[in-house]
Amino acid sequence: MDRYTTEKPFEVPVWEGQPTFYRADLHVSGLEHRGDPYEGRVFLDAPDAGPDTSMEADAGYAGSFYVFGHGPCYGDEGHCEVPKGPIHPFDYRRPHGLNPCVAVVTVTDALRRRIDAGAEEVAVTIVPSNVHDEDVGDILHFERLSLVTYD
Amino acid sequence: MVSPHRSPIQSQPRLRHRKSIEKLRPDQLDALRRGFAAIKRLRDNRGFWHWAGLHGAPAYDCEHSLRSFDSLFLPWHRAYLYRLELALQTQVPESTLPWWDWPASRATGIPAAYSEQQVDGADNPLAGSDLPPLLTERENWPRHTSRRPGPPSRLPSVDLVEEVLELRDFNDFSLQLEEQLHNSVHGWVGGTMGQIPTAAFDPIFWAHHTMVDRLWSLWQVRHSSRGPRPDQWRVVLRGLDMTVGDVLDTAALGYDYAASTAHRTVS
Repeated sequence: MDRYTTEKPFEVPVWEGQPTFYRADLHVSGLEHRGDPYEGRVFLDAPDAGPDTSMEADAGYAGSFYVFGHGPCYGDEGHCEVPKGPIHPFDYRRPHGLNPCVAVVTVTDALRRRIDAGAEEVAVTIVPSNVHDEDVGDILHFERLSLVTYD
Repeated sequence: MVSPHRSPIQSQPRLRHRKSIEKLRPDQLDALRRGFAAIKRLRDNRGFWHWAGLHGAPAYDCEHSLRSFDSLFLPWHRAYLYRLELALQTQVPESTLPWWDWPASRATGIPAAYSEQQVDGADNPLAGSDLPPLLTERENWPRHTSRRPGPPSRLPSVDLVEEVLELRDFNDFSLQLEEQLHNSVHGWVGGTMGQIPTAAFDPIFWAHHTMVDRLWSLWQVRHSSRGPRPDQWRVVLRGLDMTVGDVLDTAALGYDYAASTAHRTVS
């Protein structure tokens, strides 16, 4: 996809209007890293954010994750196909290099700002772009987004 | 720990100090250039293509994006730098890997030592390199490394580096160092550096990763911790004939990142 916004917002962990955490992370799991490098810009409650949206707090910007991509396949046919599971119990080879990964973005300050503004839930938008603020197209592929807080 | 392969009657060698690329003396920069030029001429397993090819194509031994919360990213790359530095020193003994101080480059971008195309009328061996046949065999693939850097102000700031260094848990530190700082600089340089299979063929890769290694070293001092769990110390780092335990102490590998040192000889 070329951008993502949560269909259902995350509930904000608060008690009597105050945050109940000292740190909040967004985990982007099952993240593909096959193509070009890109930056995933994370915005809270800014569903219209795009590559040219300011990366400032008042625009809802919360932080970024950066993908070190694999680019084109330099191998022969089948080189970039991720095998499913080990061939046998004594297979000590490490995982295929294109197995999806996890990116973690610490969004503590941005989430606190939303709570200070009275929010009880937040929508998360991820905009893939690059250092030239270009639209990088259909490059964002992941399986799950989690808001993880620590108290 | 690494076996020094040294006679007990030999004196302990002095530690080499890896310095910022901006602070190398002219003779040190010249040695670095001569070292890179020499290993780029070698096509065997002492040469630049061999070492660059361990990280990405064709070996893919690097530890990027494999184990997000239990990563060998830092140990693997410390051993990798060590082996490349030995390859340089085999050709030019006084050469030492420098580090790229990203925050200091937020005004100027890629350091001049790596961006000047010509030095004294000859090609600058740090500005780029030819790519090996595996990476150039298709018609539209480039024959030479390329870069497409972003605005210098987008390089990591001192505050961001400090924020990562303050993280106390090693896996947390390692992941944030890899994803927030390391990955962003690969993307910032762009071109060959932006892709795992090709990145190490750009000479600036080695200064970039020496900075990453320096930050791990600073973290070790600041938090009085080696980093990886003891049960990881016997893990062999792929393609490098070293274990995690071998690379926990930079002094055991013969170098450090001391900002300054002063010596007095006892007569």
